Amino acid sequence: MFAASGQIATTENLVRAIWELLAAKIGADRLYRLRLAEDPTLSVEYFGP
Amino acid sequence: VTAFALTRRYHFSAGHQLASPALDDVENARVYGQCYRPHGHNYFVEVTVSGALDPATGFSADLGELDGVVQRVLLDRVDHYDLSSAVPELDGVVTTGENLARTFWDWLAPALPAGSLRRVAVVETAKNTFEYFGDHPPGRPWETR
Repeated sequence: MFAASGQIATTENLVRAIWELLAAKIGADRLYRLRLAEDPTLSVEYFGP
Repeated sequence: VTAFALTRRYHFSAGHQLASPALDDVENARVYGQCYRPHGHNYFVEVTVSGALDPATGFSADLGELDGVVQRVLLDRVDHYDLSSAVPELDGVVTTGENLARTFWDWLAPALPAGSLRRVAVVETAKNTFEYFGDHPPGRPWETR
């Protein structure tokens, strides 16, 4: 999926992609924050576009 | 404006003792309880920075730069030291979690890209975490900046 879209699978790009998958299913207005932890020392939060 | 908030977790070990120079022995023992005795913690420090996504790299922050800054201005100063006696930059600071979080913020903010620091959290024990947000209340990165 990422290779095909030309995106690099950074935590930032992944959390945004997961956001888009979830928003399509449950509605963007119901999503407030998404936090993706890559490992116990690194996480990225995304709040939507 | 789309923004990401990246949080990195660091660890250091240090000793300290909570005592106010304004109080006598009895009062310090009453206010600080068992923390008036010299003791130590395995601290964790969470540093959160916000930034826009660089479409070329997919990064919102330079992780190598962040690690380097935290190592230099924070961890190198405190790791395996007695915070109450062996860290000149903490002279006069009662090293409560609140004071440490604010002091660490003051060390980190000028060393990081301008305006990027969002939050410093000092995890003193499994039960106690102290968060500091600078002049900005907690919230979405772009709403409070």
